[in-house]
Amino acid sequence: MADWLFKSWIKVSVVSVILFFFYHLFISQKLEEECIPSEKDKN
Amino acid sequence: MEQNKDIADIQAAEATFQKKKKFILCYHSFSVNNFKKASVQIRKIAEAAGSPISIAVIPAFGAAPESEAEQFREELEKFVNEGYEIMLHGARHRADLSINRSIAGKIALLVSNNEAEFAGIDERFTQALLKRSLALWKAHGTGKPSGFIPPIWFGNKYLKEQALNIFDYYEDFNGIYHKVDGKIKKTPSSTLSFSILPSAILGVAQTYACLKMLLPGGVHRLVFHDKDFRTIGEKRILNMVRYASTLREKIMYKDL
Repeated sequence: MADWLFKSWIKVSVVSVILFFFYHLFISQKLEEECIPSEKDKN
Repeated sequence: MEQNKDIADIQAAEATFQKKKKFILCYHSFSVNNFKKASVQIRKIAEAAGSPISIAVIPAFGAAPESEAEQFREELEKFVNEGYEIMLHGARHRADLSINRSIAGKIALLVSNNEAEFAGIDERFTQALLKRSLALWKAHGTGKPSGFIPPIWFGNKYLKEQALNIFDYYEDFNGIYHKVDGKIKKTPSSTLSFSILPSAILGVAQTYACLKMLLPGGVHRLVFHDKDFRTIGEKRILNMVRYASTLREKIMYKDL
């Protein structure tokens, strides 16, 4: 049981880190854009 | 045509769902020493967000000449008249090193480079410093601040209760507090601030802040300081504000 829990925790952690990395790439690009549209512009 | 209507309905429903998530946008440490530069920065942030924001003000004049103090007062008055929300941010912000502090308070000073003014001080000094902060604010003669934010969010065990006896709102690292029917109500809220972080992790911190805005839960506080305009850069700050505004509704403390 403890072994299964540990392995699951490792898997979840690895997947979270990978997802965070891709989100980081996405956000880094978005924050560097010239001007992302604001809420006001959208309406 | 019918299909277009459905799409519009779905988009409206999605927008309403997203707007249920809220965040607070606050500019910290507006003071007599930086008000000229900070005023421009605050207005740029507010423009990106689409409405006035909250401003945490350090009320002390220090050794500023009277003409500067007068301009600072005028700027504060302009902000209040334009609908910005004022929060009090300590008395001087910088800690008085001659006051006795608890071990936790001393560690807080070490971490904050002696900026955590209220960290670990006793009940009497907390009361005195709070009163001093309010007296300094009253000298500016610009209404009552909505709440109190201790410098670097480090307080002590007496500060929350004492601050809520004077102000409507008080906050620490983990939440925002206000009194409802005599009881203290906590609103869960993460502090998303960058000013004391080492530059090596600023990129990851910005991603974390955006992720917190994206995920449900809490009324998070997105906080900017003058320093962030040098370390993060204006473009990234304004884009972060615009991005957060598309995910959550920006509110003020008084809207909680």
